Amino acid sequence: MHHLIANVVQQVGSIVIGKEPEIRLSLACLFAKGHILIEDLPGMGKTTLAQVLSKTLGLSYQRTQFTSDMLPSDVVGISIFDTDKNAFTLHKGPIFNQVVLADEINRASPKTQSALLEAMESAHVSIDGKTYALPEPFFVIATQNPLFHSGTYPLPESQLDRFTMRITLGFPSLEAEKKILANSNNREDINNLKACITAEQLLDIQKLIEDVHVSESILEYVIALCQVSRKNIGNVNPLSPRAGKALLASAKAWAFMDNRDHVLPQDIQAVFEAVCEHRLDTTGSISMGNEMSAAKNILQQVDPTNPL
Amino acid sequence: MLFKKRLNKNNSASAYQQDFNLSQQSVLLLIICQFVNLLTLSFELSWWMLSIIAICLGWQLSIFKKLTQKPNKVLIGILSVTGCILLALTSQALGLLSTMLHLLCLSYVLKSFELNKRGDFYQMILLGLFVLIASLIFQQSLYFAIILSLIIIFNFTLIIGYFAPSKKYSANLNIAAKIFLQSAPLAICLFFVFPKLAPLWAVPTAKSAKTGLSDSVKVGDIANLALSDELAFRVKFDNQVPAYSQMYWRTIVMERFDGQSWKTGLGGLLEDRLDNKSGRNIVYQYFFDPANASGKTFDYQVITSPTYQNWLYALDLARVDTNRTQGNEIYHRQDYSLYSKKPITQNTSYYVTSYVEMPLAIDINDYSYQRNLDIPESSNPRLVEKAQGLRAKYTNDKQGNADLIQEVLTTFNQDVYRYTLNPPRLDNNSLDQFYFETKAGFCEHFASSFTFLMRAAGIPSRLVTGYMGGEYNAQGSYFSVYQRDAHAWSEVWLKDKGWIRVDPTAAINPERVERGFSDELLREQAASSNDAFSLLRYSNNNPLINAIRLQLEALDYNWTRWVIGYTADKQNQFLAQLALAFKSLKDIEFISVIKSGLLLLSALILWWVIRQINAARQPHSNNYFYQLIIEKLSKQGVHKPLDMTPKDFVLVIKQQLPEIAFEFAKFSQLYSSLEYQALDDKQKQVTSKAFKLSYKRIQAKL
Repeated sequence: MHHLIANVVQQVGSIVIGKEPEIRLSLACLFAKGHILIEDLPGMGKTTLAQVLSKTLGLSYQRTQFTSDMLPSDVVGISIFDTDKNAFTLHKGPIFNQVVLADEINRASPKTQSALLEAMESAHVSIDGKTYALPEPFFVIATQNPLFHSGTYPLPESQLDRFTMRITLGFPSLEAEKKILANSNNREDINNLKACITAEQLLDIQKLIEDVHVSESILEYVIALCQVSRKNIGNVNPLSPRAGKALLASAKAWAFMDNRDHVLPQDIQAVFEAVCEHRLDTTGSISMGNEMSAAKNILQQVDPTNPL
Repeated sequence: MLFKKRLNKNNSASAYQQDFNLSQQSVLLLIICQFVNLLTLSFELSWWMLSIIAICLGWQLSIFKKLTQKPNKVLIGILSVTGCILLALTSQALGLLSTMLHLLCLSYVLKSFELNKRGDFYQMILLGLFVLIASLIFQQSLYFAIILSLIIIFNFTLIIGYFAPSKKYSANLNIAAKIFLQSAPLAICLFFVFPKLAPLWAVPTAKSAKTGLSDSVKVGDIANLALSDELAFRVKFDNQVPAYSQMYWRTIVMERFDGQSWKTGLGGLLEDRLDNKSGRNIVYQYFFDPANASGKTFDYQVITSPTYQNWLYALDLARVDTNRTQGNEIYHRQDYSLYSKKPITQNTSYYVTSYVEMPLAIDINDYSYQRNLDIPESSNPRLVEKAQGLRAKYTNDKQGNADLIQEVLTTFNQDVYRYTLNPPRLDNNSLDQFYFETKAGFCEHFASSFTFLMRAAGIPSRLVTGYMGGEYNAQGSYFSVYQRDAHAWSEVWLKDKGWIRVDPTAAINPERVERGFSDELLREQAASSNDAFSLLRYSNNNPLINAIRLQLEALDYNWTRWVIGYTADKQNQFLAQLALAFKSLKDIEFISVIKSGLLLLSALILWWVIRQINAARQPHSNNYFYQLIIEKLSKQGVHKPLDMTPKDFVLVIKQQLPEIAFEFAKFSQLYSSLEYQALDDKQKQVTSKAFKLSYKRIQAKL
């Protein structure tokens, strides 16, 4: 199973150059049955990462560009009266794919945003009183521009919380940027990608990850981290038990990708910032300055060997 | 030459000695130590010695800062020879003790330039400690002892710093202080029981400046003492305490006046005559029969500070209690003052019984009578004239003399005479000028002009200097008498009454006699003197400072009494009592004491064992052992950042403590397994065992 994961990482890395930690994080998020929010400036490779991931994983994929005039039905689908059959037929929206890329999600109106986010949480949608299950695996990759960009509707805390992770890609390194600029036919490369893994295998991995052992000490560590955030240090939102769950699930996936059957403190530390930063600090967007992130600050206050 | 050096290196013993190397911080500490050690002796060293020390220390400092090279052996040789020659030249003036001290200090500072072997370093430390201890010859106060202890700790730090060069100063200082405190009980024990071998440890007397009253008094001398906080002596009364105004501590009696200064009757006279053989003055004692003594008595103990003189202090008529006073031989002089055979070079205590109501010398011989009438010719003619006028006015009998004295005192009181510590200057110490013109002075002026007047009028009289009053310390229930309490008064001899004390100061400034110097006087004097700040100066106004001062003094008093005063005799007494106590124990309840002691001991042991068992019973989590190791490592200077995982910490250890890295990696691995892995019972058991074994191994290595 692990060589499959290695192949996936390698293939995605061949297109999204120099971003292996982010790739691993997003894979961990996917394996943990979570959804991911990629926040960055335009042109940083958000969409490319989402496309390559879905291609490599061999999943059905549709991209939706969110705009301010979008309606919920544009996302979930609509029943239209078919005069031939004399009945309403459902026209499924882009959400009925295994990988949904919701591009620039914060450009859509809150109404449309919540339609998507509701589907993310409950894994099914209701159209005209009828409930439709969403395919498995179901994975939403949303991208958003930084909040200071014009024409954006910031996602409310409750909806941000639905994303297991938020990552930022950041500028590439010198070497990576050279490679990116030298490669002219990027689009073709993406189209030629082959799936490295089947949907069944992906589901197996997800199941295996659920069996990764979490010891008492790790639970205590997670609780201690949450408790520190609840002591109202600085200007942060406290971490909810859902955040703790997301943290554990991601850490399990991370441990699994590291070829281990148990979670170590470093797994928690590896995913903590991606999982928790957007829950802690909802005021601003990604920190562009050098100041320490709220998540890092919390991490530094807990001794993993002696958490409580 | 090269070959020789190699040979030397091959010799393992000398090679071991050769690689002596002090760390930079130790070198600096050594310089500081030298400075501080020598500072304790600085008052006893002459200026040229101090400058040699300053040059050497400055030189060392510049070597430390790499500004200059180490001096070669020739230069050191020249320096030491020069120092020795200087010492030889000045040894006459310095006295034996001081010369030896100079030699010690010289060798101490010069030795620091040749620290080639470890042995040199040891010598250096020992010399330093010797210098420190030598300072105890001159100073024994409690505060000095405390300061000395701190300096000793500093010296210990130096030794520790040599053996543990990588450790921090503060850590070494900590260890040194601990060692010092640990040794304190032993030192205290030795203090009590170690024999005080007087002849072996005797130190030649220090030749030091005499302090206190001098046996030749010029008008104006005592004012210099008026602001001196220096302690003259302390008195502890057994039961009754005399009134303040009766506490005239007789010290020196002056019977000879040469027109300018008063002197004791020394040399060429019948009573005090130089012994031709020894060159010392023989002190004639007067006859006293305690059986005939009557009237009120006071018993008290006096503890004097060193004055380097022989005079002692007592109330009239003083008889030394020879039963209780040990060691020092004390004479009762003909003039009723006490005189120690040896100069007072350290705190000395003696017991006195004063018969305050006994007359002094009902009969005096003609010679003495004449001497106390003697005035130099053509001195102070106006006073002589005045005296003759008075003499003519009153008859030369008891009543007439009394009236005459009274008139002189009344003149002092009612004329414009002023009491001040800052009198105008007198030409040639002329009493005439004082009496008729300036009319301002203090006790000495009044006493000395009064005495002169009496003599001119044909009444035998003499000047007495001593101390007046004393400050009561309630904490220790004793009186402290300071140099500022110095006083001068007169004595006149009247028929059938003997020597009568007349204090002219009391006539002009009664307050001085009742309460000591008044605030205004002191302030006046303080304003004109640039004396150092002293607690006393402020204590006049501030009750808090005064209370603190008294408390500190009580402490010092007890220190002097119990620690400095713990002489060989006291030690013998103490040990005898101790032996007696043990004996009586044995007789009465020896068995039961031992029984209950054993019972207590076994109860304590039982309690300890139970505690240990309980502690062992409580299963410690694996984390407990891990945290123990982390704590130990942190004590060794390797800290685990709070958020660091065990796995990352292994890498830190690998860098900082490679010698335990392997074992620690194993330890951490086992810890991780136990803490985070899913293990079945058997695996858990095996891993746990291995973990504890690994713990013990690391424990042993740290």
